[in-house]
Amino acid sequence: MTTQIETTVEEQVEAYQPENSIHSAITITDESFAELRDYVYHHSGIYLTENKKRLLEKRMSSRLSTLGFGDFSAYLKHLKQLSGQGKELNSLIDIVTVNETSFFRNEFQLKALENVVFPEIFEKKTSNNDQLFRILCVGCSSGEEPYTLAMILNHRFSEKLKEVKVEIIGTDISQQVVKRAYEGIYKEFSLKNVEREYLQKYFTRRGDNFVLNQDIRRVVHFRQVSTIDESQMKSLGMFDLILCRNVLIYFKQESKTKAVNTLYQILNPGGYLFVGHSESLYGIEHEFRFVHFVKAIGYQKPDLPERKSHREGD
Amino acid sequence: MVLPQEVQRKVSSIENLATLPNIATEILEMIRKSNSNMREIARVIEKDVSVTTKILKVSNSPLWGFAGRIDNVNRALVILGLKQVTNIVVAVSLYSAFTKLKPNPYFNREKFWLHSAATGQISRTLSKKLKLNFHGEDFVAALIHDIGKFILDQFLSEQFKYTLEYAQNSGKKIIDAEKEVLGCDHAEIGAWLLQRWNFPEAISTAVLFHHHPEKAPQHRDLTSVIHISDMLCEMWGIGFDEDTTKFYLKENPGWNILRNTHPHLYKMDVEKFTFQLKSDIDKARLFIQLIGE
Repeated sequence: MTTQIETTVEEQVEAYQPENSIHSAITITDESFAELRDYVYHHSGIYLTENKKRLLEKRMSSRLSTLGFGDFSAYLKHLKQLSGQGKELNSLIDIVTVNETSFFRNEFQLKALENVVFPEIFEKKTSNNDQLFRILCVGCSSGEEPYTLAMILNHRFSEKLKEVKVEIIGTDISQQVVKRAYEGIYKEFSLKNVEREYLQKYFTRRGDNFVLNQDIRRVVHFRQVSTIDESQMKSLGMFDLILCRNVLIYFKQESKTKAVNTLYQILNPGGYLFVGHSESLYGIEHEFRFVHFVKAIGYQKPDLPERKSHREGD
Repeated sequence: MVLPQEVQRKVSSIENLATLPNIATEILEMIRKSNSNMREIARVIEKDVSVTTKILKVSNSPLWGFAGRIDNVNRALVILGLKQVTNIVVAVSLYSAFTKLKPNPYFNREKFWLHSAATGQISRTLSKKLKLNFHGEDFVAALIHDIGKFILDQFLSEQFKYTLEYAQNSGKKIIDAEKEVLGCDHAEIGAWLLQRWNFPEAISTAVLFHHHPEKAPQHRDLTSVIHISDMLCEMWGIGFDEDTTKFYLKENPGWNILRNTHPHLYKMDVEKFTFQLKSDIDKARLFIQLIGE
């Protein structure tokens, strides 16, 4: 009988941390963990599952020591006193979300896209005689996420791509990062989740670097855009799918609401929004439908009334 | 509940099984009559050594947090309450009844029990959240909601195998394919069996309508809880031979039923609720491990 608690590849990666710290881990009590979890959820919409406990102990211990706290409850008190200044909260969020970019992050969201969302959008495009499928990756940093989607589409939906053209826009607030994304050159580390099949098909090795093939790079365009700048965002046009993973969690309530509203407006009816895998739109007023996929959640803009009937899930 | 003749003929050989869950039905009956005292109930349980051992093991596990403090059935009844002890008795007796049957290579038992136990845990959490005042029926009904599939696999394995293939090839839902091929579905077979076993009517009704809570003539809250828990299990990747890949919780008929009777559901943070279910699934794994040992 299997008793092992299932963890995603991502969680395993996240739990891994080189032993480079001289500080011994400070343990977090169940009470402090619950309190910290609620605090983080309330302020960012990120939910820390039980298995994040060890990660927190491992990664936060040295920070606690540096700040001069002997335990998590003192740190929590400090965090709460700081409310309004988000800097400490943001470092904490960075640590618990393991804010790094790599290819094929979060396999279950990608599976939901591949198995449910992509086929559904292609079908709709074909029946509406619409030949352009547009995807937006908000805060895409050095481009791993939009390129991942481009590879999946190229690999799995080559037939459909003969009829429907896909265009992916990646945005980031940093000009430097956008430039790097455009170049499409990566180190081995960000390729750790890439299956051999994809690696051979879409990358060329050049010394220590891996260069993404032109076929994939051609599909993705990058723009330097601020997510809370409504007019800039709207100038990107309309989309069928938006990924905005671990971006909104850093925003204050007001900007968060504004950003989500803008994303809603630039989505086509029936289009989907995905946020981070442990992230939610907590505390934000919105009109999205809440959708469960297998081991992933998402949000969908309601479809136009005449189409709604045959698009209902069970 | 009437089953098609051929199905009924085959399934009737299950009567041989019916001796095993006796302890479960006996206790459910005692509770229903509600004139039995704890001591009498404890006496019935203690007659079965294997069930007693497992009750003590589960009672002392981290699922309840009374490690080492429960050393006899009376104490379990006092500390955990009648409701929880009944859950354990039903789970344990059904589990042992069914593990005695010859396994079929096409039927993944581990997956079946994990799905069943997880549906049970999620039902408990959901009922608690909604402050629904069930007396353990939620856990029991959830635990055995798919028992009809077990029966189909055991007594009509060829037809069941064909049904699954037919559903896959035709793109139909499994439950619809069952009805088409066999003349009845796993929910009907499960409910039929539970009626024969004298399970409380609420439980057999919830099992019968667990795919369509809106069609239940009564016990609609219970049926909806089972339905939603079943779907959420599937969405957590521990469904059993089901086929839903996308689920709109807030637009689900069962959810609407519960929302009408419990308006505070409108305000529930469903995302947080979803994230929290991970710990229910971990508990279900532990539960299965404990009763399986």
